[in-house]
Amino acid sequence: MALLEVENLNIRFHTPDGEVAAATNLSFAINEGDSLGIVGESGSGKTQMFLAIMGLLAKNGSVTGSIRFQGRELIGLSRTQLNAIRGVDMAMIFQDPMTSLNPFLRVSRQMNEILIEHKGLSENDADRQAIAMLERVGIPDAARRYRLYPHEFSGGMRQRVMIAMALLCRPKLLIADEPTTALDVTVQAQILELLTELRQEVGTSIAMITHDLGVIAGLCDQVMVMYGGRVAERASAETIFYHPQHPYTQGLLQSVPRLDQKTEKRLVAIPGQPPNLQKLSAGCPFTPRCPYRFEPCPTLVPQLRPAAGGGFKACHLEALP
Amino acid sequence: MTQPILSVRDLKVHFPLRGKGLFSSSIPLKAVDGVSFDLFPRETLGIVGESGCGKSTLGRAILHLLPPTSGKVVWLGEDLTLLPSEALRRKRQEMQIVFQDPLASLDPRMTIGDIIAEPLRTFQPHLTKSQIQDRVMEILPQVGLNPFMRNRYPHEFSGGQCQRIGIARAMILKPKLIICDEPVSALDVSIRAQIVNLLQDLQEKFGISLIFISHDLSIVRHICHRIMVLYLGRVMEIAPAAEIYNHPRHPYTKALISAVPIPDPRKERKKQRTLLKGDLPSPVAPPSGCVFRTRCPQADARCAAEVPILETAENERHLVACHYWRTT
Repeated sequence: MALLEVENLNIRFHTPDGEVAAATNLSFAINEGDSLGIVGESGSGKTQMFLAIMGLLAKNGSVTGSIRFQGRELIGLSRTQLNAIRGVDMAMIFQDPMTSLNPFLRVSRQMNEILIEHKGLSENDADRQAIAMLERVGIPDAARRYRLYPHEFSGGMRQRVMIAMALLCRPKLLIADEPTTALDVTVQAQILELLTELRQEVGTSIAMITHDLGVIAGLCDQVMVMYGGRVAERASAETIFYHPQHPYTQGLLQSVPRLDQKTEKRLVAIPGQPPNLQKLSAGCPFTPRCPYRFEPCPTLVPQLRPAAGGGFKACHLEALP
Repeated sequence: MTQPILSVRDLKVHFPLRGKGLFSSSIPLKAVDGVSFDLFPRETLGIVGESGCGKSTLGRAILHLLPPTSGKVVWLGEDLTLLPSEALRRKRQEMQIVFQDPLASLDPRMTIGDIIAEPLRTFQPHLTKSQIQDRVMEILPQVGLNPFMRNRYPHEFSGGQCQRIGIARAMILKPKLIICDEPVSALDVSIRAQIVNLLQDLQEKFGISLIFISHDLSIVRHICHRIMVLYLGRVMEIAPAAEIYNHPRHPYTKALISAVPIPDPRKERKKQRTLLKGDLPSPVAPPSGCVFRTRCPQADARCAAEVPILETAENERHLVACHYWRTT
């Protein structure tokens, strides 16, 4: 059974300037032990989708569709009911660790609270487990640092503290929203290594939201490419990286220079600008930037359908030229 | 051999930090600590390193947007550190900078036409209104913007377009050098390639030199001829781009390169990584001897005692500051 099943998810924001369609008709599933990578530009709906799954959308947002976690429908659950799931079976880490750490409280208080609240542990037991988890994520001298405030940690260490917090209750699903974007490459490598190890050890499923295709290549088996609030392509990492089926996926891969090989003199750029979600046209959102656009593209939204390589794509083309 | 357009010699930028006690003397934060290099006409030099390594400070100190503490910045044979401020200001026409955050570097209350024209009004006050307008109309298509957009405001543009506006403003004075400080880091992946291509086109067309500051090694490899690796304000290694990637000599360069994820699952999963331990040490109290030794897998007693000098490795274009570059 799928751990997380999302069906026909639509997210709308009501703003003074009109309605914004942050996500339209999203459907996907994450199985136990899977690691799914989600790529897309800023504004492609990737973060909002997971905030909706966690029940953390801003007040002016509304969700329709279905989100089932371990078979249970999450849409419509009360805050108390959601609190029994998020932070326990489903946890999220963010780009900026300070969004989930309280600057006024010692790390010890923020960590043991989770175990006392959700697992009913005594303070002593909670402390012991929390320190063990800090050690597990590679924080040296964890017992001492446990008593410090968040600002006393460096950026990479703070990210580790946040990961440790997210993993305290051994969640089934860890949602990582650009967890390494703000970090230096050397620290990013440490964090990615840690996530890979934890996945093997604890068996946590991971949903990795990122714009860095290299991060996906190292960590994810399945990849979902989003554009303009819709799924453009969903397939195995092998298919996405070696036989992309959607023009946007192809363009994205071509436009990134690679460290391991000499690139052509000019990069193959995707022309044009990212879509404006307030003024989405009737057809495929990628139409204005697509090199292969043809007659149905500007007017008809392509539905996600099976594609070569065992994945799915939302494109009117039968196959890429 | 051609003369360098810019020669930086032993440049230091120290920021005084207040000491702990009320009367204790200030402690210098050595953001840039003895950097030397040459930049040649039409060359692109990449400056890479982790955040806090001093790459942005170095860029600003070259332009004297930050006063250097000591050292020399020789621009076309003239030492900028000795120039009076008015003469220095005039020199700046030849050296421009493009910033990381495209929207934040544009005044929200000026039209983009006015933003791009501002350097002209400042440095060439004799130009008439219509001459200025002609120059703006001429530069806009060169950075890929439509001339009729000149009366719009920055908020009407996307990040990539704002960066084009920033580049147009830097180009309008026909500079010989543009320092690009993380020019594509804030942009979407699909837009980065557009801006990188634009910078390369402009360089080719106008023969400018570029200093490209970035933490993205993949882009730096693509656009730069030579690359300088900084760590805690010091040069670890400097060499031609292909050489630094194919034959890195400094353990830090090696670790940096191995840490960059490659968008190729088969390669990426097989890759041997040199994982560095820990974070960048505080620049207020840098390690003695070699500043990298606390994270270096090969450091020994000599590294703690003796500062390695930047010396010639394979050839005179490849310099490295490590006691053990021959054996690593």
